[in-house]
Amino acid sequence: MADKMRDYEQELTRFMNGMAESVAEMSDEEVTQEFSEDPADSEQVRKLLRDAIRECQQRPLVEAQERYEEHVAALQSDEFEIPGGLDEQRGMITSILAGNPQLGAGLLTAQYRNFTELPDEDVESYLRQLLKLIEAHGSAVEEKDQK
Amino acid sequence: MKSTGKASRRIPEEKAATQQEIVAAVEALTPEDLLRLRGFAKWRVAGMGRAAQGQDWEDLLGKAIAATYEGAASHEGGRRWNKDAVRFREHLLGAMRSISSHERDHFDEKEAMLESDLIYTSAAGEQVNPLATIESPGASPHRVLEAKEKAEEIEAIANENALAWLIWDGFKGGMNGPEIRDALSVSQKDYYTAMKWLRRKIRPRAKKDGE
Repeated sequence: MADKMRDYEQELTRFMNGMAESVAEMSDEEVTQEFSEDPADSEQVRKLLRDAIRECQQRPLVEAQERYEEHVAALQSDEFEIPGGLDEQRGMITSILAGNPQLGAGLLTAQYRNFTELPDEDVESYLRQLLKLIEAHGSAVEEKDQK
Repeated sequence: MKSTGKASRRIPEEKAATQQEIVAAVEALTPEDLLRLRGFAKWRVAGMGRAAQGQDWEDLLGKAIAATYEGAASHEGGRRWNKDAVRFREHLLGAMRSISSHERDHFDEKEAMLESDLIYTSAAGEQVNPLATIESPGASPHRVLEAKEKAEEIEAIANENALAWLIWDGFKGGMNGPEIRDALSVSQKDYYTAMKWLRRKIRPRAKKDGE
């Protein structure tokens, strides 16, 4: 009957925590003696700490990368007809910008003021953004005309 | 006028170490500090029981350092290190103490199980959800039996050494080291010898998933 009243899990937790405190209280000499048999050496523990810090440092970059990829994926889900070749894509951008110079300027970052300097990997995404802008602009004009 | 709110225990920003100071403190930890952190983490995870949910000492120590690093740059989250008052090693021990206790106290057995995995069809063709019969996390007979066996195993080992048995008895009853030493009137040397014997005989073991 007494057994039913015992909280074994609580007892184990208290014991394990007591053992943990005994490790915290050990002298450096005891630590060296007692843990020297353990194959994992102290530098592996330091590496673990360094890795955890590196992960924290990289987290904002990883999150930004994920957001960017989501953005690109959202753009690619649009039903625009985009030519496959880079040259054709650049050509398409040139003709759109020639007809709508006010649209392109807003999309080019300070880094790529000149669209010809746009890196190859960003061309398709830029073209999709342009097409999206034109589509939005068209809808706005239609609404205005209806009024 | 009485203050109604609790005073914040958060270290003020001006006393908290910066992220650069934390990185430097990691490099300054001695081999003994590092081994101590690992040893401490192993026992704390073992003490979490099922609440550890497959975590091991590396996870707990990783969480402690991540919380410290993030706390240095955050106004709200993480755990700040008061570098002028506490050694870095002690700070990490405290962070692990706090994280493991928090996770154990807030562990919800029902949430930890995939309910859909447990539902089965009885011989009578009815769907049975065993979780519906669990009144509280403490009511699982399997867990109680498992903990009982483990406690008896430790008790049997402690039985070989009179002082070790008294220490086990003191810990499980909620006493800490200094309280046990006082109650038993044993010297620090004898106490440490018995603790060393216990640590050698009983190894911390974290519970893995599926066990």
